[in-house]
Amino acid sequence: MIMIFFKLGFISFGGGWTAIGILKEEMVSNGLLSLSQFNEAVSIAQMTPGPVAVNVATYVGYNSYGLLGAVLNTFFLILPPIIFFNVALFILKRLKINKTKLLNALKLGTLLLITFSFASLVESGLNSGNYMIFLISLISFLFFIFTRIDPIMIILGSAVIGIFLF
Amino acid sequence: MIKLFLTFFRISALTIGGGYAMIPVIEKNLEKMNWMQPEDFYTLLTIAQSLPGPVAFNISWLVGKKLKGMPGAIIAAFAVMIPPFFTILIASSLIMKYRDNTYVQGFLKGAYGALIGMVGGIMYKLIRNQKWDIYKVILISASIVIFFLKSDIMIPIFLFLVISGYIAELKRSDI
Repeated sequence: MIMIFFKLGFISFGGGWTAIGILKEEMVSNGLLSLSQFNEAVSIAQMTPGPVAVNVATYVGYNSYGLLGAVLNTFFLILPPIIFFNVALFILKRLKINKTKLLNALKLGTLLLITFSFASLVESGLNSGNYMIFLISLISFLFFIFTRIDPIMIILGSAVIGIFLF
Repeated sequence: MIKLFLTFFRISALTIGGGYAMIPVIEKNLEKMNWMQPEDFYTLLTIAQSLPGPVAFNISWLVGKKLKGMPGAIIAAFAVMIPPFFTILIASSLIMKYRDNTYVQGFLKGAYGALIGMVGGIMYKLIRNQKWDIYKVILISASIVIFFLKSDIMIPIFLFLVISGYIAELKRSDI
């Protein structure tokens, strides 16, 4: 499990939500979490303060192996960036890499990962057999794109609606 | 140093909604405390985004390092990690206790629905903000197909996409 989070640390460019799809694939296919447990973990992770990836790592670790699991998972998630800081800064300085262009290229990579995350989340939603979820998704999506409402308000609002709906 | 710790601790404890929600808050605080100018902050932000790992963690590490060297980096990053860590511990023990409650179930399902919407929204923004050309369209389509067929080789595909995307970016400016 630690290795999964270590790997995740390497590829979680552009925020934790990107890596959720990969995380799900790894956790569920290795039998570490059931699908519903995973959905529970990401739902909680996005509502608590702090980076989403860190929250998932802590939650999953704590649920499976207690406090030690929580600490180890979180530590291994942030180990890759710590290793990378020096190497990457060195490379960025020496090779004359255009940072804006690199960032654009990374965003292309992030798009790949997030497409996978999106498909993966939709798949779990379909498996749960509760199609009302997608109505909430559509409405949140529209709010997210077209209004300036804080995303956390959208999430909390949806959660409260969920209490009445499900 | 204590101020540095407290500042990052407070930002992390009070900002819900992932790393990206924290960035404008960090920026405002640094400016208010006269610690760093926005331009310097944005340079660091670009680096933080180019590195793997949670953005909030990366940016606090880099800001801490710039202000107080290595100890500053460790202090700032540690301060950012502590609040979510304990919140999660508390939240998960609560959830484990009440997971069979219908209301809790409904609450989580609603939040899950919103999550799909948010991830879709970020995807939409990434598509809209990318400067597209024919190379990139081919690259991303091919990568997505391979990715779904063989998700166990994701890191090589990801690296290939980023490197070839970078080359495509370089070509674009040549024209």
